Amino acid sequence: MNNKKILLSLFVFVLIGLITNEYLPETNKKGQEIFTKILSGENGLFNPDLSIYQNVAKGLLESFQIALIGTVFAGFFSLMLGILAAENTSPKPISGFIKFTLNAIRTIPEILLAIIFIVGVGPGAFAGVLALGFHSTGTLSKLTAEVTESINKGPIEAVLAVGGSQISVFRYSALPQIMPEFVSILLYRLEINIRAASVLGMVGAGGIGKTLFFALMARNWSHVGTILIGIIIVVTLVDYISGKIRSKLI
Amino acid sequence: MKPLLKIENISKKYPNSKKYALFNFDLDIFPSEIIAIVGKSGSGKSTFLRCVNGLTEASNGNIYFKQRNTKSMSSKEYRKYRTNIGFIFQNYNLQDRISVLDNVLTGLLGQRNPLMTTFGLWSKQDKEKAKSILFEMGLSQHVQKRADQLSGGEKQRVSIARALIQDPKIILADEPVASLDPPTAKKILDDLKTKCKKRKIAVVINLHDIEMALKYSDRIIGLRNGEKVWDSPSSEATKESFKQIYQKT
Repeated sequence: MNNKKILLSLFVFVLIGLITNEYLPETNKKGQEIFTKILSGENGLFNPDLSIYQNVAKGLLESFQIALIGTVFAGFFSLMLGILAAENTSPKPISGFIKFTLNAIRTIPEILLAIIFIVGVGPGAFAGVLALGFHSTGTLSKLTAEVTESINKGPIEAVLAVGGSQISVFRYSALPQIMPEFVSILLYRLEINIRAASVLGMVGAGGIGKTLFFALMARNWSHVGTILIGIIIVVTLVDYISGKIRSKLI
Repeated sequence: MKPLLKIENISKKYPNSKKYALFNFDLDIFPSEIIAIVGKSGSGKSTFLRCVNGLTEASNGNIYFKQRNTKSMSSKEYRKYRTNIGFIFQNYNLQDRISVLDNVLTGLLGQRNPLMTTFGLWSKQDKEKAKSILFEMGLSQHVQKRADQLSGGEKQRVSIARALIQDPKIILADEPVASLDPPTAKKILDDLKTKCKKRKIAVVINLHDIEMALKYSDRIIGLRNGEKVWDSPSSEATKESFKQIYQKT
């Protein structure tokens, strides 16, 4: 279905909703009233309270830092693990074992990891860093292994043919082939982690999520609106910048 | 005169294949001679070259470099042996994302301290030598360019420069001009021949073009189905000999 059709059907649904509104049961009418209030009421989402911008900015900065440190941490380990997990650079049993472990790590959701780490290291940004770092290591290593497995064999033979050692093969042939794609997936992971970091705070792992959680609990929709605007700006900005860098790398 | 490299009865059978890709092949290579190996695709030309420097492991047979059997070498000695042999690939096998200069320097990776080269530390002499070889190959204006920005002919020149910087005793060239247009191919073979004759490097070159083989080599060897069917000085090769090499089986 193309966009036009989707828009058209949405429009029809809203129209039907408006027409049948008169005949709705009382409870639904109440729900609708509340919903309208949440959205556009005096204290609603669409009337953001911009006076709290300092608080929001601080939270966003912390979320960004959590995402950045978590991603760098994951990048460091996944470059090593990814190459060890690749079948063309590592003995089969080792590669198989690492791949299995990585798969297991990847299945645990970030939010669950965050809760586990909060129990371990206490609430705060560090638990968030560990949760994101751990989960991202799982996904990034798998992608790095795939990149490593797809590298061109020819340049490797060229280094072997001149008497180069395994270290030279890695430095002059494998790494230059792996690096651009690795940095690209790392930046992409940073985008994902920034979104994830804004939610992690809700379970106590620091960042904007904490502010969001308190605003939600207090039903302070105008604060929630401000926070959402902040998250949208940061995520869009990071997506845009990393997209630019990635298009140059590949 | 003693041969530089003595190849004795080497055979190669790939796993999952019933036929030998190369069968009981003998060859003595003397300094500064140019040997062309001709034959149809699949006749074992590439397999032979790859067996010589160990990119493919031969199933049986011996290779002697300066009277020393390569089988008795330790892995370190074998790497040393490889530094004496330059290899030129059909599809260049340059490191695409690094500069032309660094690509040429990779030719020295077997001869320099791996710790230094891993950090990209090359001596001034090495860099000067690389530049002077690039100058000789007519690539002075491309020194700092990334290798993937060059044309096919230029890439093959870089790969020749990479082989020359090794100061090899032998260069093995596997269909070096098969991906290039005829005028470029001719220029590259001219260059390869003059540079190697000047340095007294022996060259073993796989070619499928008979005219080129006759023009550039001192000796012609014909391969058919992995077996040597012709071996003579180029001046003695006739139409009949090529018929024999290329005949249908």
